[in-house]
Amino acid sequence: MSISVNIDKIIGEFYLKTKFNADIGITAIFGPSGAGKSTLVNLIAGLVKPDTGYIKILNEVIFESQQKINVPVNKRGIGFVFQDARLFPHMKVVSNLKYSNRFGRKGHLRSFTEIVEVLNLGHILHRLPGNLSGGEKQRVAIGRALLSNPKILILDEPLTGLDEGLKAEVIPYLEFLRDNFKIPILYISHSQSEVVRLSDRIVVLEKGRILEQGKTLQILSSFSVAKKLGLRDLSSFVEAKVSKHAPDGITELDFAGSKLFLPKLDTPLGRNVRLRILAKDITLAIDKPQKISALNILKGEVVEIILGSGPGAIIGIKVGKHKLITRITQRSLNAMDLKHGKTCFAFLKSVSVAAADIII
Amino acid sequence: MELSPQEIDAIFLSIKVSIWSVVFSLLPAIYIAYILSRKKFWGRQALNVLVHIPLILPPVVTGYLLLILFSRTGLIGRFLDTYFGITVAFHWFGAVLAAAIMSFPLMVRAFRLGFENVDPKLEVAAYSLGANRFIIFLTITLPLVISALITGAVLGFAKSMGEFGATITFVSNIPGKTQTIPSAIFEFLQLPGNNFMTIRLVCLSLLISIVALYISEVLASRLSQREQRE
Repeated sequence: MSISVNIDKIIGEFYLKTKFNADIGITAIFGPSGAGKSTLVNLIAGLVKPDTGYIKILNEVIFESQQKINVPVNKRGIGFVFQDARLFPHMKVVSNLKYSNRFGRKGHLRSFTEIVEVLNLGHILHRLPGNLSGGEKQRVAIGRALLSNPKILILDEPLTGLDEGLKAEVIPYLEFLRDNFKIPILYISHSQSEVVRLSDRIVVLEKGRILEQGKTLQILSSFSVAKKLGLRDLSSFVEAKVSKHAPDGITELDFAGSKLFLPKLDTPLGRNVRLRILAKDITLAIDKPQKISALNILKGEVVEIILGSGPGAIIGIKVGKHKLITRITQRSLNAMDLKHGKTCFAFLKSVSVAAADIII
Repeated sequence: MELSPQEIDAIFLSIKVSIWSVVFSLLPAIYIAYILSRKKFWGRQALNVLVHIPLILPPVVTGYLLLILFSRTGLIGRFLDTYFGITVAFHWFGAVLAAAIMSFPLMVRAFRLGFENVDPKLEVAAYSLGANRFIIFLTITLPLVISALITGAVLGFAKSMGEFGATITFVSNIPGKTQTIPSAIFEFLQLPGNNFMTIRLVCLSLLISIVALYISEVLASRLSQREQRE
């Protein structure tokens, strides 16, 4: 594993206890504010010293409490992108980018020219940070971190504070980074849509503890995580591949061995998209419905039944390798006689999947 | 209306004393301002009070304390005299010492304001890029406080130009040797018929202060323009 963290830290009333690994690609550290995300970042960065435990980066131990190993911040080889960019205001973009090679860690992950090109910084090299937009600032900050010859990157809420337009401007660069630079990235965020779009793995933090960790879509679709985090709407997160743009304005997607039909997407054929499907938008039937307006009918198997304290129930349906979750009443549950392993049909109106829930 | 040699001596001595006073105070003042604004250490408040003492004591008391310490029989004065053959009391360098001590708190206060305006998060960013503490100070912190440094230095210069009480107590008022502009004005005021010379010196000292202030303003605005220029 590229990053291995197992640390404890008590700060006043707050007790942080975490153990997780991360590898090449984006691992999201996800949780509500106050979950301990910033504390965890400060501990890994070396700004705060853990009470006990160890931190390893690419097999190098940068912290070990018993052997009293505590590598200082500037020697840890961690590239940082902060929420507030933290560009040096008295230096032009080019000097910000070259700061590390002049005054800090020497060496290259990629060349200066390449980074400037990849992040599209050529036209702003001779500007001062005060004259940049929020999105440009973050791109410079990403470039500066990449040019510091890092072994890993930590992106600490890099999109928080940017409006939707600027977020959309920066996200493709982060995806490019993830797909083309073979470097482990920890992505700290409280935004469900960012995490779903960018990360493959997720570590869910709550009150200083790890609630769950694993594959992002799976973990976020889990009822217990949704409930504990108080996610506003219980949803399933699934991945589907764009296969056809039909002339009547419907986009067809391959999903779990069958098709999903959604209102037109602006996504090229062959691309994967991630969808958020609200539990309340899925209807269940025992027999395959005929002549029904809902376009999407998926055959699945009941794998989870959770009775709520009220009249509701949560049903998990396994469709191919995906799990869809739906919310129905206990009365329907009894009337349909749903049990573990029972085959059923889930259907979903195409127009239910709003554009905002399609996370490209 | 030529200036008398006594006046010329006083003017040059004042300028010399003020420049040296700022030069000697600069680095210690930067260091103390930095640790007072950034570090938490035992005795921080005590150091803060100590630095401010010259501001609250009557200058004549400061001068007297200096005299006790630095006269040839004083604690430090004896040491300097025995080992280095240096006497500062009644010497122009004593005037530098008095001016430096009197202007020190003003410089520290101005510098400290500057340091407190620099976001420590920028230093953390530089630290994460691999720079060490000293390089961070030189490349990030110092350039960001440069206008505060100029303001503080000019304030120190102006205070040194005007320093009177501690200077006259410590090094007396010897024309051509330890007589600065304020002590010359004081001497002229003691004798009748010197109104013209007094006013002339007053105008001159006003002029020097205004020029110094003007230069500092120009410098500071140039530097801040450079910061904002594309």
